[in-house]
Amino acid sequence: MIKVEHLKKYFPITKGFIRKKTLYLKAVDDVSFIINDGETFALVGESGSGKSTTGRTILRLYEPTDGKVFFNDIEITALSEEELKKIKPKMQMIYQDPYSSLNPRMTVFDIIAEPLKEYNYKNIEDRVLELLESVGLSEEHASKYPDELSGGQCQRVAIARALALEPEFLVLDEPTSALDVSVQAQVLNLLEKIQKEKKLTYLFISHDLGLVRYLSNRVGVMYLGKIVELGTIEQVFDNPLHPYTRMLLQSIPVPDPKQKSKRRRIVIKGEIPSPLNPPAGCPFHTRCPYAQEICKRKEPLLIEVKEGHLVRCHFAGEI
Amino acid sequence: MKELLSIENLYVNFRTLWGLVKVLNGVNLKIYEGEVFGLVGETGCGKSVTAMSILRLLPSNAEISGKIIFKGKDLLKKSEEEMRKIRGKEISIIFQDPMTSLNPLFKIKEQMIDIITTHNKIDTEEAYKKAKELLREVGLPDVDRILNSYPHELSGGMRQRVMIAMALSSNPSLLIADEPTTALDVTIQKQILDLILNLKEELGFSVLLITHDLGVVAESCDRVGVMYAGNIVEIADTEELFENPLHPYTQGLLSVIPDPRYKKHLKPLRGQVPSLISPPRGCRFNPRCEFVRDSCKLKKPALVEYKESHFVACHLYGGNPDD
Ligand SMILES: Nc1ncnc2c1ncn2[C@@H]1O[C@H](COP(=O)(O)OP(=O)(O)OP(=O)(O)O)[C@@H](O)[C@H]1O
Ligand SMILES: Nc1ncnc2c1ncn2[C@@H]1O[C@H](COP(=O)(O)OP(=O)(O)OP(=O)(O)O)[C@@H](O)[C@H]1O
Ligand SMILES: [Mg+2]
Ligand SMILES: [Mg+2]
Repeated sequence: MIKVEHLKKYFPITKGFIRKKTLYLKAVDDVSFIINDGETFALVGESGSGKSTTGRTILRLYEPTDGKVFFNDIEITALSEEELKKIKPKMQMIYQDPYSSLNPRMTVFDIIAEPLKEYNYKNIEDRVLELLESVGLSEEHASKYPDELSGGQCQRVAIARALALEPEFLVLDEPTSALDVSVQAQVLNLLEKIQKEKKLTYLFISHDLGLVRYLSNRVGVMYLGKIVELGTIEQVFDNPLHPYTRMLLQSIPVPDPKQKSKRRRIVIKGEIPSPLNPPAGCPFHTRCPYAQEICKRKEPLLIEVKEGHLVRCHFAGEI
Repeated sequence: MKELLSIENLYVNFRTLWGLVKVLNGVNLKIYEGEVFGLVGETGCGKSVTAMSILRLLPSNAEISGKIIFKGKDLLKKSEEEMRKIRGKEISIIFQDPMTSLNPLFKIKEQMIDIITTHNKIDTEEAYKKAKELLREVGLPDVDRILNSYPHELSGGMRQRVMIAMALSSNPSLLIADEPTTALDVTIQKQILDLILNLKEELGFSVLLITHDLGVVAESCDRVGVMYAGNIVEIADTEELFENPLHPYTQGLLSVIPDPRYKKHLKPLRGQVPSLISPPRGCRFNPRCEFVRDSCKLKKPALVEYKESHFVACHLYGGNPDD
């Protein structure tokens, strides 16, 4: 359904006051992947790795610097504004912060009705009620304002609005990270349920590997704007081949106190370099326990090690 | 084990325009010497208010009652002057966002020397040496450069290391860490947690680790207290709590955290956290509890020792009314 080819998004950053110098922050640097019909593809990585920028550029909320995005064989990146408006209802986004993504001066009814009006739907009232029900809310919530709702309820409203125009593809950008764990589970179950019912395809953005394991079929691991490993959940989580993926998996706390003493012995090295000035060669070499001379000089390519399992490392499969 | 801190029947209310917010509803917990005690709970349950009560740093609209016994003396009975000697010296605190506790206008050097000279009778030159020593201790490279930087010139992880160095400069007996790693990336989070635990081992202080993340608890705490809407609902050794959770809320929490090691079925708790202006009567968890009975809506269950060293506040396990 979605095909991303060599996508790049560079942000110009102006430095210096008198002698202005423009640097480019390579937020997304040559990212390629596909998302199959009805599956959930996840992007994971630490903050600043380019996950959100990838999601936004796919929906053309940002203009790509280079590369192509296809949606059902239509090249999104080549569409005019007008053509884009026609296809936009099919692709929606849900953001991290449910409060700031909803207009505080509109009632829940108006928030959900807005896209319906924009696209000249009929029977708006019935449709809004139906949408409220599909996300586990009811008529009584329709007259409320966002600040009268809890975080979880707000996120349900955001989901209802995103579903209004019957999308096929949703970008979920950390949809539960502002919610408490007990409410997070409610929203995750809802997302799973509507995916099944409406046959949706998800791009799920998260830094939480537990959530990714829970919700996704395939996953891409990002580091400094690049995908360093890509594969099915089982391939990447149970048999990680890139040293960064291993580092991530070793870092996340495991909810099992019996692992404590074993995990205390694992030492995590270094900090994430500035994306404005990424290391030459393999961008991970500064933190990599296996780095060799070649890693400092030459950037590895993303190569397919096993079917569907891609790794960007000179020593993939050897370490 | 020797008791370092004992919180007894702590109540905190805030007077606000919307009414009295009844935040802490009789909190009871003990922290022993040399242990890491985890306080876990969801947003707004009162973890930070508990921490601020220990340091007596609550805003002026707060009403506080109960006892906070630290080294045998009740902190709530101390004068402001006496508290100033305890804060930052015997009890230190680090927060989630070090930016809020570091002054953006001063170099790290100036801030560290300031703290070190307040708590130790040494001159600036010696304090500078001590600052360097402390920064090395928390694993920072290039300490001269860091001392000459402003906070915004450092990464989040580096700032948190600086905060830890400052908090430990007076050799406190209790370090309160309020979500010290929540704002950090996972790889940096593990580094900071390990740092706190290693320093604790080396220096022997106790830690009150506040977090909403049960993974962090499993990874670092000796004992845990689970908080819900202003009450401690369960306290146990970490392994015991994960293996035999007694309180329905603890059981619920454990069944909603995803596990990175396998795809786990999540069983969400129904409902949401109650308002603290008009909290439910009796047990504050009763509207969400699947085992709720009549007594739960009338009487608040007391925290009782149901098994050895395993405390629970729930009518399913006795929990006679205490007020
Ligand atoms: N509008 C913008 N202008 C300039 N730089 C930007 C812009 N948006 C993002 N960036 C930069 O691009 C990089 C990638 O950012 P992005 O938000 O995509 O990361 P992310 O992986 O979503 O991180 P997080 O987990 O923190 O949300 C970062 O270094 C960020 O500072
Ligand atoms: N100064 C205040 N005036 C009124 N209410 C307050 C005040 N400070 C805190 N509260 C309320 O007390 C409750 C507990 O807050 P607290 O900050 O202790 O929560 P927490 O458990 O630390 O949550 P979080 O995980 O979000 O940090 C909240 O409902 C909060 O709104
Ligand atoms: Mg993001
Ligand atoms: Mg707090």
